[in-house]
Amino acid sequence: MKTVIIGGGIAGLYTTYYLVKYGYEPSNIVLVAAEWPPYSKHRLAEILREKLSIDYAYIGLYNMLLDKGVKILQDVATRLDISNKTVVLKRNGGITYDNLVIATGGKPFIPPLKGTELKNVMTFYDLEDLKKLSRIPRTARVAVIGAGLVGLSVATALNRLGAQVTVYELMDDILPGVIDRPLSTKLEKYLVSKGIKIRTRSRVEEIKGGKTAREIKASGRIEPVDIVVFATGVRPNTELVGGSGIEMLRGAIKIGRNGMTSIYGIYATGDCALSYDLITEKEVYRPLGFVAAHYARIIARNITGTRKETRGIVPTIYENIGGAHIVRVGLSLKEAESLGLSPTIRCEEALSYASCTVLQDQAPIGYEAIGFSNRIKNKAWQIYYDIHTMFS
Amino acid sequence: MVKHVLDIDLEKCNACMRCVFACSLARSGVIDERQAMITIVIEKGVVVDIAVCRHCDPAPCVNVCEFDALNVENGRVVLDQSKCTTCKACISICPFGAIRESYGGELVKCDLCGGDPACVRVCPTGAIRYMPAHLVKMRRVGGVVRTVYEYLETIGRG
Repeated sequence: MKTVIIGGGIAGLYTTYYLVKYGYEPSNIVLVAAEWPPYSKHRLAEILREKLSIDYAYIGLYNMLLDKGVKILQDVATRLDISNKTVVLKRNGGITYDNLVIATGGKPFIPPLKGTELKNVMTFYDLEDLKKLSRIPRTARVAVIGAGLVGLSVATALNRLGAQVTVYELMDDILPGVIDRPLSTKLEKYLVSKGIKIRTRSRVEEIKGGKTAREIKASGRIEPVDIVVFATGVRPNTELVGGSGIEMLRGAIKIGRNGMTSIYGIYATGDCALSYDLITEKEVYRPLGFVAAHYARIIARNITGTRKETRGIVPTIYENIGGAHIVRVGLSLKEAESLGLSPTIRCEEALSYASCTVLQDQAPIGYEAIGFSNRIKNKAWQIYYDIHTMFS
Repeated sequence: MVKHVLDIDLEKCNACMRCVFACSLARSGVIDERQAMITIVIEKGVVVDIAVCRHCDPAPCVNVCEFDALNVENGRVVLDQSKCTTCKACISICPFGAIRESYGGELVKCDLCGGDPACVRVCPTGAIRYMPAHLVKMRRVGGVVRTVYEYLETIGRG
């Protein structure tokens, strides 16, 4: 039995790891990776801020897999030939499989605006972006589009390095969908006090300039800029799958509770695929590393002969945004609403700390917190277990 | 072997920082708060917490880690750096604020120095002691250590 894994990111790496851990013969695994060695996107902002070597981004696990005899092909899959159980690669030609795991990941989304092709307009997604941003002038005027976790991480890192940072966010509040008011308001005040300009309810309309971006137009207002960084989310990278007959939804691969796609023997995990939310049991698109790894484990179990299903994921998020600790477990108010629930929120405040519990029919379904001291401690664990006790 | 963990007595802590520096030195060879796996939390001049791993078993962080980077080995919660992707789910879930981000995005947590904790060796007041785990549980009736262990046992998850 031969298993081919397409994608050398977190999803592909950990599917390989769990296959080996659960006793699958390593020499029967082929991992097709466009980029190698694998690295963690979670470390990019820290490396940027502390001016560290990119070596800090690499995940040491790959050495162990190589030692065990897993075959790594540095190549790109160009076509799926499902009737012949074959993946066609750019350099190595066709390779056959018994089980296939699609882990092609995501790609950064840039809204279709005028001027996004200009020099000095970029994303903050991979090592190339990190290298580019590490070289910008220290006092550059940087526009970060999108106040999500990635946008705010890069904004605070650049702010620390001395750049003049303005963050543009289309929604009413920063970290939309991650945390709710009043916590987002507190974070906004904190970031403004650090010297970061925040423009919420601001629609970026155009990037102006000749060859290089010089100005940004947002909600009618034009401001000068040296660098534009888009942090406007991730979309599934699934060009390979289109037309193959594998069922998709809005560009993402649909999977079952066992991680299998609509075609027997073909699995998918990571930013290319959908996943399930435990609380609502709905299909969601969550391009997060631990979602990828959760399904990687389930898929490896099924390929190695243990039938295993998952009911879904309870998000567990922590991020340090320029010294503010952000914690989110379960659903936020906004996310719960978007999933069709009618939640309420209950908030409390302590000395250097504020937290909210999201409730549905009196039962906790989410918890979010923001802290400003060196204290990260919070009640998330309790809500996490309550959710599992109630919904698992 | 009887499981030993750190026992924290906040009232005895005078925030001298010896434990923090000793921890950093033992881990990374330099004296730097950020490299330490133990944090003294001070709010308005009062020590409100000593944040360090209590080696829960079952442990919320081990339960939440999807990367197999956290495991309980010989009664200790051990973090395997080679498997950690810094997703930080464990930080969000730790009841004690005991897992921290170090330089380069690497996560760090207490490994009890292999059985001879540097922080205990240097603590002049007895605020941190190395004790058999079952005694720690009994000593902290109503305290947070007791609560977490009991909670985990009650709902029976690990």
